[in-house]
Amino acid sequence: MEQLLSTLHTIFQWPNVAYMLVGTLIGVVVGILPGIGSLHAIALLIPFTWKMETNPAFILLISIYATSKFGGSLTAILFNIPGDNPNAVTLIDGFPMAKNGKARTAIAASATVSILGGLFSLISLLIFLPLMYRMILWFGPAEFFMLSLFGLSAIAAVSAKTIVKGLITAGLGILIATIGFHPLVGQSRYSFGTYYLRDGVSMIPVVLGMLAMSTALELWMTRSSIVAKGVPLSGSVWEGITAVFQNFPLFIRSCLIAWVVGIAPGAGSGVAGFVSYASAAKTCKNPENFGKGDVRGVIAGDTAIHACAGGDILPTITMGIPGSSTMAVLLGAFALHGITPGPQIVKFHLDLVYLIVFTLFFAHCLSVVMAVGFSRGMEKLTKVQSEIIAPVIIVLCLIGSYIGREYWQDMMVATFFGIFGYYLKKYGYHPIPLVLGIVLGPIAENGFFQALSFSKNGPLIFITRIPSLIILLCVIAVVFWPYIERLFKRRGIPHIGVS
Amino acid sequence: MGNDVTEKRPELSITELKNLRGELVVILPIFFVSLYFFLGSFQYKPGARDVPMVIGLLTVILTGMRLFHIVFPKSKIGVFKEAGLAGEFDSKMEDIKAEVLMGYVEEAEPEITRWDEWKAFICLIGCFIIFLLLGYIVGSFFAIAGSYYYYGLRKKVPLFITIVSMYVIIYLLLYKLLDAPADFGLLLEPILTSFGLI
Repeated sequence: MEQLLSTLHTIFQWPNVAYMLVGTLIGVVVGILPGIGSLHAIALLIPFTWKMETNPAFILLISIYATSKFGGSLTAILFNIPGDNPNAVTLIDGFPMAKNGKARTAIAASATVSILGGLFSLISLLIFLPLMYRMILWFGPAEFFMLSLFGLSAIAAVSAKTIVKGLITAGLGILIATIGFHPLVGQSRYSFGTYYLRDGVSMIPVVLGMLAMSTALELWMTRSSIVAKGVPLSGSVWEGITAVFQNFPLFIRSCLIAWVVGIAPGAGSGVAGFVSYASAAKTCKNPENFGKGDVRGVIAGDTAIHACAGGDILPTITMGIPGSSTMAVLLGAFALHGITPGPQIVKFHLDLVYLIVFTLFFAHCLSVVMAVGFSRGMEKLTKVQSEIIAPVIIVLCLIGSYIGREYWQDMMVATFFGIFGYYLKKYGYHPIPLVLGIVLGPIAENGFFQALSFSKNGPLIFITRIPSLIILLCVIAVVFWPYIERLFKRRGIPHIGVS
Repeated sequence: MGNDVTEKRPELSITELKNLRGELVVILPIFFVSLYFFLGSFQYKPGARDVPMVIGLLTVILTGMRLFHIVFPKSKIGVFKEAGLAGEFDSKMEDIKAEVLMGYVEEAEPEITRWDEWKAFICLIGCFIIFLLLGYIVGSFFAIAGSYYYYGLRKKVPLFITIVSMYVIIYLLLYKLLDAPADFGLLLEPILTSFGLI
């Protein structure tokens, strides 16, 4: 209880509350702007937090993560444009509602489930965090290494198209991370005798290049300018709020679906929203109304988008296994602030964990107020041309890659990875595994040496300890999943897919 | 899901073949880089060489298989169609999305030509060179104005708003408030120093 009160005190202290406001503002704006989302905004802002203390830095980043989705919901309802990728589910029923003169009702329903979804995330995290904390206390170096390995194998699961393409880019990420001075052995690797490479390739320019610059390049190439005509704000706010409580079982079911999907590595709110919507459309009464402006469609989709955050964050902060692409980038933020991603966050920085959890909820509430306030000027934001956004992203990426270490070569690395990242995405190679490889590779390598130094039986420590063995089996299951599934199919055992 | 590899693979269309060949841009550099890491690892002490050796070897094998498939598209080696858990989620989402969004969103995917790609790359490299020569404090404005001009944006209001907001972010917030390191680039710094301005 004391911990919780102290966290609340920290959040509402000056200037932390200002960082939350700024983060929420950025989150809402990137949510409204088409083409970019919280993933890009967080990647862009990580280097700018380098001089900030840990608490305000994470208040800023988590506020962006929590709030971008509601801004996207508003543009989906009013302009038929999903601001962020997950919000595509909102427009299915949101925009028809707006056209039927119920824009306010749809927005009110979306705002209500946003706040309640945030509350669900908060409660679920508060319930599960102490349990995870107790479990992590049993863990030793062998389990920590295995968890890093599990995080790395989750890369394979993150890779959207094929598991092997994910492993290839992850391998490249790990190899890039080996460049530089190895402190345990006292030898420089692949540095070509240069000071720059002796310090290693920084994660920041790679993240900025792969995620943000490649997106900016795509914006330049597509040159999309969205010309949308807004729908007038009409309808009853009260009707929207009450609709949520009238469909409370649907809300709870959507929360649970979102939580389970959120925990699965790599499957973020986009997947949760559509799975929840499809489930609602198949099981609710009068399914023919879905897609024609049914408020239940908005409730099902938006609840899942917002409630997913808890499931997304839990494995990320407790085990270092990212629940989504945005969480993979957040792991990089932990590393930048000198916090080892994974169980050690819970073990040594419990205050930060609670800070993240509460910020998530308060930012959700704040975003509703802010986004509704913005709704008048929103039309102008949705019409911002991609040629205007792209150079701003490029400039911020170049600055972000430079200021961390003051090497001009870092700007070159970011530029190279921007172009390389574009080609990776074009040919179905997900850039996130590479980022995770760079973040988790060194942690796994150090963990391996540490575990061996504690072991009396050499590498057998990884299979003689039960928790370590269980995690190892999970790693094998994740990596070899398609082959295991094929084996079941050949034997005529019913399909055991995630669906 | 793409898990079913049929006994006889169908012939690839010209577009598919073109896409497969295009993948060389990605796979060839990764292959050579990982090969270099693997072979280079032998020169290091035990402990320092383990990770690059093992991961390098695995990556060489996987990229080698893919290369084999690109060179011999009819071969089953290196097809790599097995989707991971999230791949299954994504495919599921794509199916649902296609089903439920049918008729609601008119998705007109703009075709990106090779010139579009090169134009964007030239602009990005141009921005990098501007930053290198002028540093980020001055270079940002030239990079933004230059790329607007390059992409044919002639409206003054958006340019003015962007420049002013970037000034607030870069000069006031970053440089003055957050004490970010000053940088005037390889060209501007000697000039400013010679005039005693910095």
